[in-house]
Amino acid sequence: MQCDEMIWQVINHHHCSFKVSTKMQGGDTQNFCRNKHNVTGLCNRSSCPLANSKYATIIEEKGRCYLYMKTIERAHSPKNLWQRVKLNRNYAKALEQIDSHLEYWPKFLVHKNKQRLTKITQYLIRMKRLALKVRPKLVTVPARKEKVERKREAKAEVASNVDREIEKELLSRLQSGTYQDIYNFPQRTYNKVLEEEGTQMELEEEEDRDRLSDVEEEVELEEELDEEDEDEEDADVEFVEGYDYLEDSDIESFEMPNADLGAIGGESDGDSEGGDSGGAPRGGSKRRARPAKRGGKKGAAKKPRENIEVEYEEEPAYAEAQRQAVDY
Amino acid sequence: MALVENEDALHDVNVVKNKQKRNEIVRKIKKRRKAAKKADKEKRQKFLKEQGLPLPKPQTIESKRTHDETFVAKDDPEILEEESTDEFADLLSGTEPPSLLITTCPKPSKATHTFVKELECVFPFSTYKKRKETTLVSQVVEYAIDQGHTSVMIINEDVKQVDAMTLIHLPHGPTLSFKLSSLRLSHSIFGHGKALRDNFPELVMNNFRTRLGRRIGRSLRSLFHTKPMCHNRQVATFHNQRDYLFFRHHRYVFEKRKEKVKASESETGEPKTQTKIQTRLQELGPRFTLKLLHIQKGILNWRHGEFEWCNTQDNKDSEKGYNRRTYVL
Repeated sequence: MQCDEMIWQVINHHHCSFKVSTKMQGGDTQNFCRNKHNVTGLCNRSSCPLANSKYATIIEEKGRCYLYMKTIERAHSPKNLWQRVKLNRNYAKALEQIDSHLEYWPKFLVHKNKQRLTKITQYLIRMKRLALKVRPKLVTVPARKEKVERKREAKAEVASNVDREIEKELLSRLQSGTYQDIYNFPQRTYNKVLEEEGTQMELEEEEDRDRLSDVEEEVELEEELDEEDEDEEDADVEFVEGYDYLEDSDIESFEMPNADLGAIGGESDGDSEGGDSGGAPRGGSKRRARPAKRGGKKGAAKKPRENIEVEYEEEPAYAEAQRQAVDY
Repeated sequence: MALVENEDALHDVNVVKNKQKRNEIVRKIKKRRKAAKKADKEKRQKFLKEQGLPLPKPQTIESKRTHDETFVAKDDPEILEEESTDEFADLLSGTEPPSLLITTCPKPSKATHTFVKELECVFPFSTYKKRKETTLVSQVVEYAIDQGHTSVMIINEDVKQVDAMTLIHLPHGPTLSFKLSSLRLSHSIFGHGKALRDNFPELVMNNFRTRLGRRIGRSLRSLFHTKPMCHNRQVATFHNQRDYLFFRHHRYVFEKRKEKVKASESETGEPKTQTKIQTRLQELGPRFTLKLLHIQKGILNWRHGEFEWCNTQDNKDSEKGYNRRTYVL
């Protein structure tokens, strides 16, 4: 029934469904075996699991190695053809087990089985090590989502107007005295400039509104401005020149940053006035007189004051904290 | 052309067989319509102004933003109390100087390396450590704690482009992960300046309004010194707009500028020019955009880490649902 030589003749010269031949470079071919019981993986007479009635191999299942053996005596019953022995996890002990089970077997099979055991043990160790190793987690990036985000980002960047916001913030810091005496703008010009800026600001806002532009802080500003729309026409001209007209509450509202500055100017008077020698006595006295005058009015004109602060209201709490930090 | 005269002629344009002519007509009709619309609008606005009525508010994405109940009021005592005890309190009060360790993913490309070089100018307290291929993030963190760093920044790249930044605050977290995009190194910015190396830049943080936003803001602020060198006139900015954090690095100068006064004002006989103080900026670079992906409690841990916040905008089952006017920062 079992005739090894005949089986091998068929396999070798005709067809074997486990046989794979590769084209090697240079025209040589090598035959491999896909049978799971093959101990070497090569297709040849001695390591063919079909053409050898006495055969042994090692198979790994779920991290454990088993020694599989078949003998001619069980060939009539394929169900019981293979005898399976569970090998010890310890490599040395497993080798001993192989030795004991394959004591009188061909030396070739013993040797190849031991080689196979070594190989399997090594890859099991490597698998464990890789499993423990932290490796970068690769995530998929949906291309469409990326594209959408890129567009949103570009639009947000346009809407943010970053440079303008930075300029505003820095200017507000200058006005609130964060830089103290780093910048010695002659006080008189400086105050005047700030006044004029009040006008400027109003004009700018109006232009913006006309454009209905996409700029952010408008909304709150809008509400405030709308309330005073009625008075705007006459307010226009009056506040360029001076302090005499300060009685008007609307104008006062645009003066406020100036007021803050006056206070700070007072602190750093020594430094700044030393620089501007021009109209020192007159200018100085005038300036000193002003805070008192304004002090009385501050309370009265409190509501309009908030109008001008709008500019910084975007992150008021932060700005406050930042200024503290900077002053520190 | 008779067709163009008719306002509603757009339907009948097909009568014209010549495509070029047809296009011309359509263009003209559209131009007319646009002009008419504009004139109409101006008229409306003028009327409102004359009547002293409020003009309609511009509807922007920002002004239509979905209300977020976590908006922080100016001086919310509860929030201030909470912030005084959070992880950044020590750094932000200035009792402890910041110290940043910058590192990259293993095997960084040249682009990443250049970026890190430029970051070192922005964060003068930083030190750059090369990362070996085998060094794990946990080992980096261990090293940083050992060296007394207060935070670790890991720059990640994909196909030789910087694409992510992870910020780990030491020793108790949190860990923030950002997507990094639109990176422009300073040499590719037109008219860029050169940043001073040993400088503590000023910091501008804009638009961090919700509680989460404030937390992110505090986290980013804790990377900078609380006592900037104002005389060096360098400023770093994180500007939040629609949940994108735009980073910019500038040098600034305050200048007096003479401006011509508009005709309406000069009628009163005032001088024709006025002086104005303006800020001028020169960009130093780099410039990039961050988008928050998630915040982890404690130190980065992919397997067992607990998330404080993670982006669920794509989650359609979420209660609010996603809409493009909903922002979290």
